[in-house]
Amino acid sequence: MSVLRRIAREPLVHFLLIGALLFGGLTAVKSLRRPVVRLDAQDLNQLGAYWEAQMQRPPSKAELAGIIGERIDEELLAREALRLGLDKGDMIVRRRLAQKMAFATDDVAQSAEPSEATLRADFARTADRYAAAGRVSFQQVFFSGDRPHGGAAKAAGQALERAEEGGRADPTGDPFLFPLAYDDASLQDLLRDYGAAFVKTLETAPVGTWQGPVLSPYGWHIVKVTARRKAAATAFEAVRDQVRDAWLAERRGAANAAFLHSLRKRYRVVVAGVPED
Amino acid sequence: MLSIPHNSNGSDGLMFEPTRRDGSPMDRAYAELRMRNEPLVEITQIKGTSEVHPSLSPNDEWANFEIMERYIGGSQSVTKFHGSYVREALKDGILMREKVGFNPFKMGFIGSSDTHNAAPGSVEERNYFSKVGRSDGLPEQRGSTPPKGAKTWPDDTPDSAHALTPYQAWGASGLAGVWAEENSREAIFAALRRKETFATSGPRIRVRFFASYDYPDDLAHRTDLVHEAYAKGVPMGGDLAPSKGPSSKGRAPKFLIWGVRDPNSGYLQRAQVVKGWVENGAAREQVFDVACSDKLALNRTTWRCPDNGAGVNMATCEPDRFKGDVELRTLWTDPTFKPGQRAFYYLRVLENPSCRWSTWDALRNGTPPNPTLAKTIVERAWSSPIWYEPRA
Repeated sequence: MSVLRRIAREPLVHFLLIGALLFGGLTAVKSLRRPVVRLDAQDLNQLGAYWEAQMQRPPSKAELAGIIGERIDEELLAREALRLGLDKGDMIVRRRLAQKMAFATDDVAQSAEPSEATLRADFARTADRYAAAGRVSFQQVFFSGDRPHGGAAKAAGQALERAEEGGRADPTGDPFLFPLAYDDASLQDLLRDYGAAFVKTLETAPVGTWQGPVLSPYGWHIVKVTARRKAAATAFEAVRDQVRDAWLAERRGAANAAFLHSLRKRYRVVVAGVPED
Repeated sequence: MLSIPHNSNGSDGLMFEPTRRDGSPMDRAYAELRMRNEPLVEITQIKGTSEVHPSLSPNDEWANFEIMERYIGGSQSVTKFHGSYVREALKDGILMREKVGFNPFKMGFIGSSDTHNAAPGSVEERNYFSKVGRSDGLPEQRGSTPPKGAKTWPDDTPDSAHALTPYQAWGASGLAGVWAEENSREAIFAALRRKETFATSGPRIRVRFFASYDYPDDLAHRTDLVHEAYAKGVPMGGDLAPSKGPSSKGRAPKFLIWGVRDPNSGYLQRAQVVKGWVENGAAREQVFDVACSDKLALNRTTWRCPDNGAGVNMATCEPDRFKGDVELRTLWTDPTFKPGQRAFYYLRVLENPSCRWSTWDALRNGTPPNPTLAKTIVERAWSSPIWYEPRA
């Protein structure tokens, strides 16, 4: 008994007991204050939706557990990285933040719907952007510019004469890598492949008869245009949505430029020790 | 899904190393996986051309084309060319097929620009306007006009290996061509899958390449040649099986060669077939000229066309007139063909020389071209290979 009493009076024992209590208490408090990683129902729905969008079926139970585990791991690593300041001085993080800020200003700059009159005025100013290229259907016979002694032009001329007499082209031409018959082809595309002089002929030749010889970068051709659609101004109604998008994009661009301008006023920019004004 | 590896020239031998990345040997499953995922390779782009390095193919006079010998995004020099260039990889591939039974490097070709400046293109020499925007957007930044607005070049102008930035060694390069039945996603993707693709260094040169034992000798002059070529043979990217049947057994394959110029670029000077094959346990290669421009006669001993003499006026960058052909078209039979030798063949079509972009920049600036850079280049197009597979 007396031994127990003596132990109870021993200051070292008091010290250890109080220490143990404090330690236990603090640990309990600390564990209460452990930061929480919490995924709520909305997060889970979103994870499931992402997965389903990619795989075209809902995840199985095991797959769902895997997705959630991965999401938690990602959150833990990201939190720890932030705690250690790993986001500082990181080019990719900086770019992403800048991008988010730009998106945010885009949203803020969402202007009110333009009025019909505004759109029509804008269309009047930019109508040539929406014009449809002319289109043409034609047949051709090709005589390669590599034929010796200008033989291609002569052969093409003879073929044309025969075609004019007989009403159809005889197969005296050379092999050609491009189509020998085009159906409703865009003059813009033909310009790239055949050059301006050739396309001019396609634009102006009378329909339904063999014409030529026409020079192209490849040699001489005789051509018969079978149908043609002129470059046409497009009606406002057909491109209303595009005009609206262009108008909004222009507004957004202006708003973003203004925002950057205002930022330059709020910050002082110093490059290599030299202040920018 | 498929992915197209690029810039193997900057990989320092890693892209086509003969093992897996961890050093363990490849096996059939790995090779098949790789070919399923990566049936194509980029053979040319702004950061250099990856077909062939002069040190790997000393007998190819046109190998020294827009070579870039630096790491991508760094200034470190590339030291290992083997494993970095496509032709060598194709050779390693057929050798592996012969020795271990699978080929991880059976790739078709595409070209691309790889611009990062929100503008596609930048593949024309006379209209090259940078690859990455802010840092190479001006001629002076890319080393084509003298530093600090000077009118002449200092004596100590560094060459591309020592220049502060890599931009001067970059080339205005890279388009991909696809032979598809129609202009739709499905048709184009299917063509990529079957490697019916070609690459150019920028101009819209069109190339056709087919092989068969049964083509008629006048095929190249027939107007239905494409129809016949498909009906009786295989197109670029395909496999040619050994000949069968009494009429063609053991006969050499015939190749239909067809290249047509870009109307907005130069004329064509020659068409070549690059052959790689396995002989006595080693991979070999040869470049055959097969069609010459200007009616020049092909030397069938050296397999070279005579020089057509086309030049460029360096004061104006105007090419000589009346040199070169609109198209090169022929049927070629491989004179070295041996039925037992595994091989690949691809077509390369060369333009007449023309000013390099750096020369155009200098011309517009009224200053001499950078003395350390090539003043002219030979633009070109490459078809995907056709593989001759002697045994199944």
